[in-house]
Amino acid sequence: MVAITAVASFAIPDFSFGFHLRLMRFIFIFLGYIAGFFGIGLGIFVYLCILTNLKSFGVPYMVPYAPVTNINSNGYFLEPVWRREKRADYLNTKKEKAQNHISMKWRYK
Amino acid sequence: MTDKKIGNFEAIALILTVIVNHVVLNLPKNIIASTSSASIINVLFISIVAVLIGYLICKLLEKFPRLDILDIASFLGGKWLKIVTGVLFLGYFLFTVSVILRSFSEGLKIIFFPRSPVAAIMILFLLAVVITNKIGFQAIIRSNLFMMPIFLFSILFIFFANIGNFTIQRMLPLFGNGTFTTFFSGLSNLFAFGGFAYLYFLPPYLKEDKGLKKITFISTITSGICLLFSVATLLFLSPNSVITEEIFPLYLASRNIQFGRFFQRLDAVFLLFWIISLTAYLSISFAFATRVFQKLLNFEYTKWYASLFALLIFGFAMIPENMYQITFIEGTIYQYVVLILIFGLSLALLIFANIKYYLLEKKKGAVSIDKAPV
Repeated sequence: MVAITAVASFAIPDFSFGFHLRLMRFIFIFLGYIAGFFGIGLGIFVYLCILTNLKSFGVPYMVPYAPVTNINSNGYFLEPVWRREKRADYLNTKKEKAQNHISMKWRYK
Repeated sequence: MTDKKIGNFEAIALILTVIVNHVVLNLPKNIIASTSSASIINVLFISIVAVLIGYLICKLLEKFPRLDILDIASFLGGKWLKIVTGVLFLGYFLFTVSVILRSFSEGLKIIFFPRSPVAAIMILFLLAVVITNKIGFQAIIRSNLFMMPIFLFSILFIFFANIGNFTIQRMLPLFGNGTFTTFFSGLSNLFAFGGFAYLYFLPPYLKEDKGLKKITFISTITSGICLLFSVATLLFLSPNSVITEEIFPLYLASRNIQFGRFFQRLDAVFLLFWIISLTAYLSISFAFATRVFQKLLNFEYTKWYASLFALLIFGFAMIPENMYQITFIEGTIYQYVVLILIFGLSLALLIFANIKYYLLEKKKGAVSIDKAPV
């Protein structure tokens, strides 16, 4: 578990992105000390509530997973670039369509 | 994006929370105790009945878009009927939270904290519930949506991981104690779909008016599937006499899971998920209780009395003296409360409101209904 944690921490691209994790690590250690797995479970849920309540420039932090927005090419799996026809719902753009249905028209001439 | 509204997936996850948490506790055990080897047929039967009742509820709510049951009660019988309905539902939510909190805390004490007092476990749960309620209703709903696929997967995983230990012959005789027990007295197992209580309060919170039907059908069918897998797991795993005497039978089923020597004691991971799931359920019921209270008394804010409600729930949860009383309250009293309130009184209220709407429409033409802002 320690090895997995160490390797996973290298997945964070920027050093400053890891600051909040350093603080949260102590909070979860404290919760684990008080109530073990139970405390960690409660901490995870409260932390999740805080994250889902956050907004970044007007866009919810956990979008498109919570709240679920239009999942065409914005969900768990991404389509190829030439198939991404709609812009993300959470951006509230003026034009929803990013490109035509057949974007590579030269292929069919 | 309107912040105060919830989407279809969030609403589905909200209703599923009820069944997932009851499945973890004693719901499958109570179904097996009442219908014996016919539990699977009984679950299929009550799922079909629940879908039909859900369809009926959606049809009855069609005339009252964006109104919850308190507004409909106010339309039907004025302020007093609204207050009576509100008090009943408030009592239901507080009762549910207290019972589930005590039941799960007792189980957790037996498994993990044999030397800790139950009160301490309950206080920690309530602390998390109060904090999440102060963060906001939207946050709880979205967190629940985030974790719901994991909760559902855990129940399916227990079924498929235990397939090697199943004895399919425990399904026989097919109709268990008889067709009357399976289909008539077994109809009382409809209390498993207590999540319909949230359906009555959802319309003002939904982004799309027409989404209620989709939400009802998908959540009911998924609840039925979840219930079917959990009942099947327990029915095939152990004899009925063993299952009906156990606390947290699904947890005991998860203890049998073993993949070689590398993956063992996966029950701890499941318990972590179920603790998170229960906290979500308690937070949601708590939030609905505070909102009903807010609507009854026309308060502007809900956050200041969240702590008071938590104390009240703690007091109610401490009332039962032993595990037998808790099991009785959870199995029998909760069953009748759900059947009478959710499937009896509320449906009757909706039917009479629709009749009144029809008569008023015939008399006056268009009918306008006052509704309180959300």
